[in-house]
Amino acid sequence: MGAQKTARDDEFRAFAGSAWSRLLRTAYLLAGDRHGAEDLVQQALERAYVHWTKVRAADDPNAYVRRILVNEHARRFRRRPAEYLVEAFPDRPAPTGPDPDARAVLLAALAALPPRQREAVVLRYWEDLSESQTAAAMGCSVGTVKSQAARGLAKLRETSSLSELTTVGGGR
Amino acid sequence: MSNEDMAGAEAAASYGLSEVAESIEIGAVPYDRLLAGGRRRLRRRRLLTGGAGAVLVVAVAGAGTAIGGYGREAGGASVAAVSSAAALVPGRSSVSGTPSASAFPSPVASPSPVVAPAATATPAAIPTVTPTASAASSRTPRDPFTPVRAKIGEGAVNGHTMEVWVALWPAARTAEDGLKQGELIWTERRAADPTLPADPAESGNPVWDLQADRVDVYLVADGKRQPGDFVDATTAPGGTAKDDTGPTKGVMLNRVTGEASRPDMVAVSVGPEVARVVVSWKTGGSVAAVPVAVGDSPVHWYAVVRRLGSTGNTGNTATSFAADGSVLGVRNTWW
Repeated sequence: MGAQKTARDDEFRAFAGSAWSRLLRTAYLLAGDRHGAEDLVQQALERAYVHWTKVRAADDPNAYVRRILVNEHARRFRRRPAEYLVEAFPDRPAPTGPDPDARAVLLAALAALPPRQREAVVLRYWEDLSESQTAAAMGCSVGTVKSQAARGLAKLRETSSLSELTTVGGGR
Repeated sequence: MSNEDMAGAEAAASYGLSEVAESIEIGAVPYDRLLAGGRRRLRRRRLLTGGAGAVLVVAVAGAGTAIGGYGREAGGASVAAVSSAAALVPGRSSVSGTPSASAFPSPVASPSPVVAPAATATPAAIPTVTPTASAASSRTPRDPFTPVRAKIGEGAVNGHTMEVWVALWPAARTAEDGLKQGELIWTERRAADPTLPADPAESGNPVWDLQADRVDVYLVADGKRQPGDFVDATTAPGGTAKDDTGPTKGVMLNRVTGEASRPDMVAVSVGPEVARVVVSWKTGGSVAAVPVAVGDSPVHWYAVVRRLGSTGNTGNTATSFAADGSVLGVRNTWW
């Protein structure tokens, strides 16, 4: 029993160590702030620990945990009512003029997207998943992924952040 | 949008998102926290599963007559299982039996005189202030139209007496009852905040859910309920969302006396295995709180006065302790 537990912990540690940075970056795009991202990843990995036998037996453990992460993100937004006063407390007032940091502008634009659009955009264009892989991660149809990603992308284009980054970086 | 435009937008999005994602600094992996959190969830899962099995055995043996009462779709066994499981948790509080802070030698300094959370100053007083039905035992039939209330914390801000209350509305068993319950909650909220629209449909509150209770967390300042409350669905006894709560889930209540856009108090939900919480502020100092059970809900709550100047996303931590004093988890808080 003890040996099993140790083996489970060792495997989990190895997996968490390898997956942490990627999950954290994805969560950062979904949550919009560092702490929210860390909390999201922690919740997802804790759930992965509980279901570790399923995770390790999965064809792609990373995809399994990514789906947990996306579900956790969706669940938070589903449960949050309009009266929820504060999600992340600002240390400074919101910028009133153009933000010189295009990344901050893009992050803000991303945060303004509805959760499902944000998930579709992040999974398609950051995680670089195919439409079917994204559909699997989001638990929806490919058609939904297409429409959500297209709408999200269109809204992001309305901000100047994408073009600024592309101009600076030359695209990819 | 032409295909060329679309491809360009996708490439720009890919590049832009990479820029943003890679801008975050990756720190050390918190292995200990992950393992502690995972084990805690696993323990809770096994405890609930084991409790359900034990109750099932008892029921099959002919003693199931004691398991009556509410009879939700999930079955009486599940409802009783939670009660049974809770009884196995060391120090798990009943409505009137929340463990006293004195049972746990506090490793932290006392809070400042001005910021004085009730849980530290008068821990025993918290669960005993029950103006309505909070003394009801878990055997009392759950009435979706009669909330159970409990004061989960108190303190003082700028000379104002602050109290945080939780009203637990037991899960309604039919959609019709769910709508009626929603109207009752809305009526109560509008009484405190007349600026709310008359139609409950505009509330944006969680839809009715057979498996979920609803909680209304509100602030009472100088004896008067304030607008700016928080309503959410929460795990009901026997519900399926067993891992719904965590030490960092919380809500700020700040419409009254604090600085503009700064919270006066923060209310946080935790699992029933959490017997005590120590909040450490990034500006220094810490405060202990004892979570309070509200009726028979498996979700417990505590509330503390926020330390002025501690606002921010990082730096504050909440450490949760089991009844035996062992650490269940340490989390950065977003509040």
